[in-house]
Amino acid sequence: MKRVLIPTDFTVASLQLVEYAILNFPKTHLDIILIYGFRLPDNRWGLTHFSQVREINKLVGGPYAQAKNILVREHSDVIKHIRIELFTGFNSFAFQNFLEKLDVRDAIVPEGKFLQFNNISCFDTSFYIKKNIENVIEIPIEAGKDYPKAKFSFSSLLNF
Amino acid sequence: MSLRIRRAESMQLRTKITAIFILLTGLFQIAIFLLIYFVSQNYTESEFYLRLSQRATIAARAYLEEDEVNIDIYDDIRIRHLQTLPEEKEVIYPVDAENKKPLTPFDSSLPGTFFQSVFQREYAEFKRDDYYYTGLLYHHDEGDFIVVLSARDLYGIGKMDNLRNTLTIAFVVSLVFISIFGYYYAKRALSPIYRMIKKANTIKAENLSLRLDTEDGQGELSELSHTFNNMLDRLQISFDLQSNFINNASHELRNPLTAILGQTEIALSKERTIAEYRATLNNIDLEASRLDSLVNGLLKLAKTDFDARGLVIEELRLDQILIEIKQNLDVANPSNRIKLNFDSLPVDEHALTLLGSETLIKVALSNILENATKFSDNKTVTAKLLADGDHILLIITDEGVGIPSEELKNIFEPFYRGSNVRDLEGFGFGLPLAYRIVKLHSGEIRVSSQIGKGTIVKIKLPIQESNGY
Repeated sequence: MKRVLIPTDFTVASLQLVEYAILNFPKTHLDIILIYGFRLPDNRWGLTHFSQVREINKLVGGPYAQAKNILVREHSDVIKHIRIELFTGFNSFAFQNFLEKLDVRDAIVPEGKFLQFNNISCFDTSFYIKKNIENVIEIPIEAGKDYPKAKFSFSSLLNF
Repeated sequence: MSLRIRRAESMQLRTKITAIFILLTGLFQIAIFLLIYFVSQNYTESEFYLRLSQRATIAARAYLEEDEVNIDIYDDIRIRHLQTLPEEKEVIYPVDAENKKPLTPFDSSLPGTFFQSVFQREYAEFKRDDYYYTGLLYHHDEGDFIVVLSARDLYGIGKMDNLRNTLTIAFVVSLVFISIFGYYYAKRALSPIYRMIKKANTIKAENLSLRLDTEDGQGELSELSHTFNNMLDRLQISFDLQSNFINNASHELRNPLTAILGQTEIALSKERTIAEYRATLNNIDLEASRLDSLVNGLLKLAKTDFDARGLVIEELRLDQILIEIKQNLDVANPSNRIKLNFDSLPVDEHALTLLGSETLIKVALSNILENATKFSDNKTVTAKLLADGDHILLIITDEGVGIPSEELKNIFEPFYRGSNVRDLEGFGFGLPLAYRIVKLHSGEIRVSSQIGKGTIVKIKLPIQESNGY
């Protein structure tokens, strides 16, 4: 079984990277770890009450969870495990410790700015992955055209 | 010519929208302004009558009191504090209130009804030209009196003139602005239609893959674009099916024809015995019979694509279709290694049933599976079928040459062929046709591919209940 680290931004589109893991590691069972960079709260209350599980539940939306479940069903013969981990460190040393705990040597990362992190408490872990993992496969993937539904506003009323 | 007519019509529509907008707003404004004007006028008049009646009361009390000092006080108050109203006049008539008769003659210029009202209700109002009259019946120890007080409301007239002028100017100015903004917004509202007309005019048989922009995402115009694009999809599928049919037909017809031509050429190259001619004719007959059955088969195929009403839409079981495709591909290419994976099939067969055209779905899935086999050099291709309640999912995974990432966005363009497969046989419309057929069935198709590693094609089709037909 091969354990593969894949960065995620909790969008359905980011799960496409898992399919690239399947393509790049054929004929082997996969243990996928989806990693998300998260900054710990900077106050004592937040730190003492921090729970990774609760934070992940807050971050993961319904469509993402549903798409992840379907993905596992689609490739059930290949994907044996899939889980989400938060990386809360600040530097490469922290990331190396994190890797040691996870015991992972392979990773799939997107080329360029495929992942979107709009929240100030989140960050892209691709940089740490590329720097610290031996076998990193970069996927030249492009974001699809998703047009969010415009909410009603007075400006949109006048703006044809 | 037709373009010019259409443009003229759309110009009229813009002008029409602007005119209706101006007319409705103008009428509404006129109604509101008239209401404001008349309510104000009514209020001003009521206010003036009130003032007149108060002054009439004061005048009656002052003049009819015995004490002469009161008259002086009244005059003093009136001059100093109350100010005299413009052209103010008081007249006091002694009357017999019981018999409703005047003891001195009334002013003949005032109507008799005015005095009758005073007798009846003890108070009456009357207006003639700019003059306002109030009449008050005053009972006193010395007898009854009618106090008539009249004045001009110059202040009220000025106020009403000012209001009328303000409202007229406001109406004209707002009408100008409404016209400008109305015309501008009508133009802007219709501009997507002009863009659509312009784009639609560029779409011809040679570039049928062009589509109208739908990125606005909302509203009726977006729906119109989608509808138009769907129509183009259907048109293009028809075109491509014809091309597909012609290509297949020419390919299939060529073999027996080549055989016939070869036989005749050999037979005519020198003198032959009757037996040899007979053998040649037999061979030609055999090939011609093959040709005949082939033509009949092709005609049947062509007929099954569309019936007299258009596409034949029916309930389809995708697992059965896949099995049939696999059987056909096994005949055409016995060395293929397509594996159908039905491990995750749902128990409920409705979860695998969709509404659609069997021929089209078969064409689409055959094209994708053929491509997977062709571009993976007959390596293992897995087709896994599963359902998520609302959709049927088909995942086709191959270990082929893959598609360069920068070319992934072009693979659904007709006649586009990947840079790494140009030496392989093909026309480049298999995948685009499959893409449009899936779209026509309200489905989605997505491709992940890694060069040298393989490709995953994911097809998502809505099940019967939620199908977009």
